[in-house]
Amino acid sequence: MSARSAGPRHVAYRLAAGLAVTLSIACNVAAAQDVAIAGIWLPDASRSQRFPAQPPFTDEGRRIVADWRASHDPIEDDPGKFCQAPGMPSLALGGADYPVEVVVTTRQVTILMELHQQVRRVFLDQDAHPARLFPQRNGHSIGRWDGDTLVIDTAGIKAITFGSVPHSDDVHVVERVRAIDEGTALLNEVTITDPVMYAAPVVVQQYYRAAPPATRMLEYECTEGMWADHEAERAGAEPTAE
Amino acid sequence: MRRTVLAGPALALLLVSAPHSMAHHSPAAFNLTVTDFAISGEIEFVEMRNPHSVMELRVANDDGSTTHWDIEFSSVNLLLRRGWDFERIKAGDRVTCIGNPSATGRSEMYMWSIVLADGTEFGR
Repeated sequence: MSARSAGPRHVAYRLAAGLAVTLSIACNVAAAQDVAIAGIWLPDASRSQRFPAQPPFTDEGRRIVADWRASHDPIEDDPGKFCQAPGMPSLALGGADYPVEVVVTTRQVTILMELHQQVRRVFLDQDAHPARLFPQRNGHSIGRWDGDTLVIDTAGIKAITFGSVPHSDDVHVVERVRAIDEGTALLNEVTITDPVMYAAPVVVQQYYRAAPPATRMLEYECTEGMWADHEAERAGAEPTAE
Repeated sequence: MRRTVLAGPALALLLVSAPHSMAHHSPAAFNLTVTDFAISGEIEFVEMRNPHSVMELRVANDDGSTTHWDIEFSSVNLLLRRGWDFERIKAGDRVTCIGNPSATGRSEMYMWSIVLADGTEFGR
């Protein structure tokens, strides 16, 4: 037997380590099942507020949006045509008719959005954002529990002018997420602060209803049409819908 | 947009084998105030996909000519949840498409519901 072979002591160590991992996973799963916000939810437009059509723009914010609209054709330059997901804060509001799955563990809440297969990771084991954040579409989210309410603080969001919430990369979002109506609904109170774009914080209430028990999340591949366009061009075909 | 003129065998081959290119449109491309616009014809091509599904419909005109319509409709995910049976919506089938007409007068529409030849309807 070589020195690297598993002797009785090694086997015991491995068994102990395996048991610890199993217990850890079991605890996380148990945590997920016990938390009321966990599960699959459907946006409830009948109760939700919309981001205001006339938000309190700063002069700079109004100019940024006007410049975007003046330089982009609403039909030809639709970001959706290019599978562009607007990211946060837009994805905290609505999500069309697509479900959202909330997975809760002790260290992280993971929000899986079917639309555009977006993923948000809310880190529960960090008290602060990193000092230097590279702005990304969904930003960097840290969370804490306030009773049964998950409080999410998101920063480091990349500036995007399209979507339901035009914003700069100074935007800061605080969400308070809790189950209501005896666990049949979810309320997210979203506070959006962006000193570049908005003269005052904008607060929006987004509601969800529990998805029917048989609901399963689906994949959402968005780029097949763009690939088809490319293939059509390669074949020399005339695009039929442009 | 690149336009290519083809003739004879090359065109015939292309019609059989060319991938179909149908752009996704923003809602601004359709007249959303009209919801009961309807056309009937034969499906030439259909693909359920995201963000929007696409269909090409061959529609016979009163003067004997035909027009190829580009039909855009909801994402494959939402259609599945709405109970659309994709096995019953295939090339060669005769269907009626109902929804929003083009806002620019093109032979395009956004379909919200479809009626199959046997009267079965799939909608929202």
